Amino acid sequence: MTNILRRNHVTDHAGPGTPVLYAHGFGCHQDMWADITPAFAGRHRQVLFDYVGSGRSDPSAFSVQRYCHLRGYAQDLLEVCEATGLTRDVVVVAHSVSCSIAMLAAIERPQWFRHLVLIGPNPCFVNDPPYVGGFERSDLQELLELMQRNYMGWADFLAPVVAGDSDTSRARLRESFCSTDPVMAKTFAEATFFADNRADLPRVSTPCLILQHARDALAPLAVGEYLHAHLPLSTLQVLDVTGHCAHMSHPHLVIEAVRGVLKD
Amino acid sequence: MSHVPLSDIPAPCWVTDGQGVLRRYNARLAEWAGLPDPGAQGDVAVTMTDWLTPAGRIFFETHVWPTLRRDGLIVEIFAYWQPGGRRSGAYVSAKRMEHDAEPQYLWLLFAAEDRQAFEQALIQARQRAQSQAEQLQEAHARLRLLNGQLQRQIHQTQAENRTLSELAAHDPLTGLGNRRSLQALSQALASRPAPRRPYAVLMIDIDHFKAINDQHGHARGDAVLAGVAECLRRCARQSDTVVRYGGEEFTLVLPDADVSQALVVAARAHEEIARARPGGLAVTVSIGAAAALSDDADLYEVLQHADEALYAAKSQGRNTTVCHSSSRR
Repeated sequence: MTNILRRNHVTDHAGPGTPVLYAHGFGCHQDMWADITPAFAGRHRQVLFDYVGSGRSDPSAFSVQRYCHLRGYAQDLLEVCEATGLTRDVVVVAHSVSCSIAMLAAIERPQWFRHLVLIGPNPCFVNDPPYVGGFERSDLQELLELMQRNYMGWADFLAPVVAGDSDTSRARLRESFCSTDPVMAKTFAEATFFADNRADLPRVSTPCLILQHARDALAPLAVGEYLHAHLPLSTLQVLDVTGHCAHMSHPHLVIEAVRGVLKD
Repeated sequence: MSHVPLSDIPAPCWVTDGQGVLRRYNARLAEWAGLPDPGAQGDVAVTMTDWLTPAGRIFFETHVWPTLRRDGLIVEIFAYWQPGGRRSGAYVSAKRMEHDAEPQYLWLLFAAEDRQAFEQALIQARQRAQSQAEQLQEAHARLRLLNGQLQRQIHQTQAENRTLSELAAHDPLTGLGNRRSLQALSQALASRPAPRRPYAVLMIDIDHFKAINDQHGHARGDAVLAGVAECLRRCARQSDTVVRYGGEEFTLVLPDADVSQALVVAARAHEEIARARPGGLAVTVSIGAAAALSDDADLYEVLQHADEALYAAKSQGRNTTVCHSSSRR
């Protein structure tokens, strides 16, 4: 029996109020929420996790077959919910690709979730006129190349692959905030940037709060409007933020928005 | 932190706020990015993100900025840059500076042309290594599976291992030691306590063995080999060692023997083989003899001498023994 808590490096902070599940985006891991969680400490149960292949997850649980599609990550999210007993009234705070992942999870288990807070979502990064996702396929190929080039300096690339579940490889992964295993990161990148979840949007029956960055390299304003138009129960809020990570660069804006959802 | 004098830095260099909006820069950056002279800088309202390719923007948002915000430092990140439409690869390093409570970031760029080819080669090497690692991992999983079975078969495996190690030093056809066993013998000879008595070596080769194989087939050839080995074992003294040196060539190592004693054994070998008719055939052998000249002579050197003598025996018409010149009295 797989130990989900260990596999996804689940962190569970107790609290009496509505449970909040945090889902990190592509590139980093659950530490990205460090400026948000203190605001709700002791008042809400807060559960954080790393997708398999990211952060301090168990690298031996990784398989390309499962994680080459966002469904695999949605499965992780649902399994974390199940393992922690978060099967009612859950508020998910999701960043970037996790917004699509959370939507897939909410479509599968609508009764588990109360609200989705979507920070910088983009259901389809590739332009598909008239839809504007922000990128061409060639851009995303170049991204894979950049990742590969830069990971060389960031980690002993073979260690996690060869050592499998050894402690040294986990220690190495732990040192870096950003993903360093080229195979796992490439799989996640392809699943993320070649995904097209536009057809799933009308099937999301859970209320969604879209937090759109005003100037976001990864999600043009048009994407937020598209989401708002196609998600049945959504609210669109544009944050006056440059960049893609308001929860790290402007945590107070995200805290305020989450607080609003929790009060509903 | 007080203002770093950017003008002293011999590379494009600039300072941004936490959103990448340009605050200060040096002349090299102005030249690289087509900006107004830094002395004349008013409000340039430029974001460094604009210089990156779309892929670079993703990489900066998902990797560089998060790392920089958390760790305050990034080192030599490669990206493609296109200030004013000219695309080129360059590395950037950045460091956080506290500036009036609001963090600012100091960026330093250096061009990548030279390193690019080198890195490309490294990437290819890594891809090869990765595919090997994947194969290793697969093999690893299979090995784990097999390990369970191996545990149960451990006794049998140990027995097989013993057989294998014997095979490694023994010739299965003749039951003699093979060339590898000479290694141990050589060490044994060298480690005898002084005063060491000399020893002699015979190299024995079956005459016309190829013709035997050709005419009578390999099975008969094998029978001849086994028969000759048996004859040599019978001729040898208790202390001697018979080795199948290779093919149809055998070696006899005779400790505490001089050339005349070696020649006695050689004569006995000729007689014994003629009498025994190995494989039912009238087989003859040629023999080269050599003796160790000093008590610390190297076995392989003596073997070499014996081999030279064997060659002479062959050229003298075979079915004879020749003693190496260094060993003649």
